[in-house]
Amino acid sequence: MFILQFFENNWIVMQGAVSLGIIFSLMAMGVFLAFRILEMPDLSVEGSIILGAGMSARLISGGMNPFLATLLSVLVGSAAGFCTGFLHTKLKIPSILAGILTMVAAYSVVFRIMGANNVPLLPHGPQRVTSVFTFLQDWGLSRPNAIILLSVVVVVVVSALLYCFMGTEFGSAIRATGNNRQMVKAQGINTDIMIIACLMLSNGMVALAGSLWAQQQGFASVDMGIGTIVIGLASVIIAEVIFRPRRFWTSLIAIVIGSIIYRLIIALALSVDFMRSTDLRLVTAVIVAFALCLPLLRDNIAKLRKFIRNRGNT
Amino acid sequence: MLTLAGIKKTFDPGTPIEKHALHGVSLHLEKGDYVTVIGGNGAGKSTLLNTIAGTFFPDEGKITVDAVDVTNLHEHKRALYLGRVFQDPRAGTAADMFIEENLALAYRRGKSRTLRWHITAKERAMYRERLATLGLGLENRLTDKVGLLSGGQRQALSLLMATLREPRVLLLDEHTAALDPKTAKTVLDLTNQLVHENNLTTLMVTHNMRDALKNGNRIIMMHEGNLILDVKGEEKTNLTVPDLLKMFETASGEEMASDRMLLT
Ligand SMILES: Nc1ncnc2c1ncn2[C@@H]1O[C@H](COP(=O)(O)OP(=O)(O)OP(=O)(O)O)[C@@H](O)[C@H]1O
Ligand SMILES: [Mg+2]
Repeated sequence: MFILQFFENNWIVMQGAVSLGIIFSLMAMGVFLAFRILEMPDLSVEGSIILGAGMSARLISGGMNPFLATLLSVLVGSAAGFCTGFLHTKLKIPSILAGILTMVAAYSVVFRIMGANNVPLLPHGPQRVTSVFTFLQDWGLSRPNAIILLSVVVVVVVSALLYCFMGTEFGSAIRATGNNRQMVKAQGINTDIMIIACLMLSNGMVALAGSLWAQQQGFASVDMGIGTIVIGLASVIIAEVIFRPRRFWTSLIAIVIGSIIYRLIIALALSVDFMRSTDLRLVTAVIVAFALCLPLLRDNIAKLRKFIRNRGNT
Repeated sequence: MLTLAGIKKTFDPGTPIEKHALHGVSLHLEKGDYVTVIGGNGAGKSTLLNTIAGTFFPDEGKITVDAVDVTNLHEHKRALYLGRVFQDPRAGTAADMFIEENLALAYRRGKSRTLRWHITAKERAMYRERLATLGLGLENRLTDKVGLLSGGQRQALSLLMATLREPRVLLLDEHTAALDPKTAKTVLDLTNQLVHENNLTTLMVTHNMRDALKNGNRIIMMHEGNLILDVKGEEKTNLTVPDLLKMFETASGEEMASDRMLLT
């Protein structure tokens, strides 16, 4: 098979794709929380991913402990989520616009935080960058392996926590808010608080992905967040189309796999000679459009089959 | 139990589409009163119930529930006192959540949502028992999504949810109108059963005059934002549909115009 052969010959490319896929599954879960659980198209994730990345790069290059820097980055992402939620619930701004406002503002804030278009993380010994992955490298793991191992641990822990949280009374109220705000109010729940809490959670997760991403590639740049929302949606939709998850925890697992599959497709597409790395967003858009029209396609193929069969009979 | 004093509500005031929906409605319900509400399209019945529930605030007037002034309480704060079932079967439940999750949400009505698990084993047993009393077989479908249920099943579930924590006042806004006649009867029977068992103070809007006469101990009629009729007790028991029509004509000075009310 062409695909298998490709990945066999490009072990490093594949390893990179898998680790990016795992890191970005955190972002995709954030997008899932907003788009699917809350049923609110939240575009502020484009802002929170670079907030997370930029904040981490700046703090770590300034000498802060990478774990503490990552934690602070998550909080900054949550703050962005709070802004969107506040604009939407308290100031009654339509959700898409609220997200766009936060996103636009975040670009300015990130520039202030970073102080430059591009911030590298500090060198740490020969050919090494300080990051949350460094301690595993000190234990003797190769950098790619350290990245994959820690990312897997983070994803497992975060999704387990997320699963438990969504099973609490509070989480259950958030899920219901996405379903039917009117009913939730009738049960005595303040939907504004649920919406704000969910957006803080979702943007915090996106910022965590941004933070790990910057530490994985060794730098943060102002423009790295563009297109995040579509990548997140691509992963969620791939997960839904392939696995059709019915429960919350199966959705989470499907999203991790969907996110990895997305990265593998991208790696495969970019390996074709005339493709450039700047085509990535075009490819992503095509994948999302394709995945979104799959149900329609399926119907039409079924109709076509039936048509051909009927013609065969007469 | 429930007192409305001079409730006024105008939609879109000062615009060409200004609409006086309630013109100073006053009403007092004793504990255990089961009041049916009738009136033509646009008479203000839903507006009345929504004002009680806090969907919007009245322009004037005061609402007290069990001696608590709730006039300025937000909808979610008032929910502590109120049980509601809407006309649209989809409105009262969360479709993508399990039956048991919906019940657990309702069981915590008016309580703060903590980080405890959303349901306990003890509750589950209680829900199964309560669902069994509906006679719809839902007791074996606790982990089915509510979206899979029929309109009647969803409405029965909504009723159960509204009464799971005993409400001071139960508000029913044409909750059988979207159902076929047979299902509507089942849901109405269930309503009577729940209301009588728990001696619930109830306001039930209906378009069906016969249902309005047959059920409850009191009937009120609305017309153009006013209460034009209020009959209770023995007098209500002896009332017939022709009586109602005649009373409507004398009270409003108009012929009964609503086809929906005459036909059903
Ligand atoms: N949110 C709103 N905004 C503007 N006008 C409204 C609103 N809600 C109700 N109205 C208007 O107020 C009047 C009373 O409406 P309401 O829904 O209370 O009537 P109703 O008695 O429930 O009628 P129906 O039998 O059709 O349900 C109507 O003229 C309606 O158009
Ligand atoms: Mg109405």
